[in-house]
Amino acid sequence: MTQTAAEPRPGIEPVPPPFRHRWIVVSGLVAAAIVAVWALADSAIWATWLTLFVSVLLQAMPFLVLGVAVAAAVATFVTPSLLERIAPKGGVGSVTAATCAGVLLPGCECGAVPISDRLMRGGVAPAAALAFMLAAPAINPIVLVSTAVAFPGRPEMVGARFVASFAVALGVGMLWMRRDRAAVIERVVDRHDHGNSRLATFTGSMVHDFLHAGGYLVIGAAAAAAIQTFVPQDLLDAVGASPVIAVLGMALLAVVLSICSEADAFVAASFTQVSPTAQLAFMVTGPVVDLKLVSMQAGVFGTRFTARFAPTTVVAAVGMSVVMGWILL
Amino acid sequence: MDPAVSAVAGSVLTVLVGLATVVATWSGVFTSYVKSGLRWPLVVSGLVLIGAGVISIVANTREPGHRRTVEGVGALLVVFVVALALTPPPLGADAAAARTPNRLPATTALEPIAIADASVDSSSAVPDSAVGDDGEASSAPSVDAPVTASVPEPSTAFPISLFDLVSYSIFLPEEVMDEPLEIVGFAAAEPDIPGAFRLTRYLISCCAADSFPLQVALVGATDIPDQDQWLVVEAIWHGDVTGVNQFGEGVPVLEVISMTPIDPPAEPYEY
Repeated sequence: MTQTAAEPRPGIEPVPPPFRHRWIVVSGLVAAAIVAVWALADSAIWATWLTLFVSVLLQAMPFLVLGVAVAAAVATFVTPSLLERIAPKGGVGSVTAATCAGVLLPGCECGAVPISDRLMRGGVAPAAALAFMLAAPAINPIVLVSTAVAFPGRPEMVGARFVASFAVALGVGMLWMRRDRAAVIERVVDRHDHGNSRLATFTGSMVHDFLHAGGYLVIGAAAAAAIQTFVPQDLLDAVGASPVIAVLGMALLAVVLSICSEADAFVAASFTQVSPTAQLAFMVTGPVVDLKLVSMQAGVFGTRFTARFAPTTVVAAVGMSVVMGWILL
Repeated sequence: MDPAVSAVAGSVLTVLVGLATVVATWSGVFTSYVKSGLRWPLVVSGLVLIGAGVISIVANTREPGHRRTVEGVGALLVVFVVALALTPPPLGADAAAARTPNRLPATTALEPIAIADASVDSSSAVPDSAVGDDGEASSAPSVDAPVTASVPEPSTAFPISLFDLVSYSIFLPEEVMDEPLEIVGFAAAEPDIPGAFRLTRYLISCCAADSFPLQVALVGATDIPDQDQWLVVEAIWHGDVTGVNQFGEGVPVLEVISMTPIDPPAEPYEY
């Protein structure tokens, strides 16, 4: 039918049963959020928050829609068997090729995790598939264009983002190849749908990815607007005044906010108080490690793998941001 | 939730987000949040969402075997639809006050227009005395603030954006000094000079979330306009400044020649 279970292997973590009444909790939260937004729209400071919230979402919308449309096209037309034929099998060349493929293929990070999963199942070396997973959301053409739009007249921001993210994907991929840590990957779950008409697959994939990424973008936009509205300007200035705290703080913020890579440049640009390097750290860290990615990776690749992979990636991302910020910004 | 219900609900929500985006853009409300250049990208992406949602609803009804479950986090997009339906206003005086640093209260409060630009060589002192030295300025005392909406005589004032004015006041002050200027913005509170207000407009580089208030202080108006009232103001700058703006420079203090209340412009922000 539609779902194909993975081959049972020893040491597989049991998949937890889905929480059946989760939708009740979600509906309650959404209802509470709506009531809060409605009731507070009249107060001046909440009106400011609401304006900033809507601004970030509207600005990100065209890029988000373009991103999920392209990802849906990949999901619809690039079949696993096609991947198997064209994908490299191993070695340094395969990691480099996978990173470059990630640069060319747009897809938001939520889409990159299942695609990378599909690559491994298709026989691609895990290190190469991981490099693809890191590169695809971080530096695809849509992300670079949205970065250029968010930082008008500052092409060096786009360049720094490209180089830093490329280096992170390549470096972490190489690291995994050398130490053969890919063996830690415990289980693979095939979530690909089969048998749909192409149009239904395309729109179904698009709606799914849009809701998924859009939901997290709402959280990110709400938090970014709240920080801009409620955190005293003096505190933001103080954080921005210390280069080290600013870089670490923005990287941490990227991990917590979990904003889609097509939209994160607009949020980064909204933090005018911090240095360009700190803004860069936000944009390089977010697409490779954030709360939603960690939870997705833990679900797809297992918790033991993720416990090593995520911290390594954070260190690489912050390190490369500082280096590129020092050179270019 | 039942996957079938969940999948259809997700598709319906996608259509709603698309509709809200298209309506907000078509009605022009969107310029309160983003640049007007985003009009067509927003319309197209809204239409794409509507199309994808509708097709997905039909597909889910016709091919019940091939549903994709939708994660609960997507439901948060309802908040976006509601927020957009409430059409929050463009950033105004309250937000400007919250974001304006007030770092030199002691000096500025004691002597309202004390900090003069270093490049001013003459008469940087009392602004009131300067009113008389321009031909048009003789009409300034009779301006009576917002009420002078009656047809103004052909103006020789030079129209300038607040961004240009603030930039020139810092880098090339002599270019904008001692000549009538026409500026547009909304009224906000002046923290230091009694009887004055600040004409304000936001500069955005991408969307309202990265906005930056541009301000000049206006003295010589007999009535202080209400907060957030939009105005076209003719005024003249003699080089005086007050307080500190976000560039770490003084806020230019201008003498009002005339001012006319206007409706909020279609594009509230400067780009």
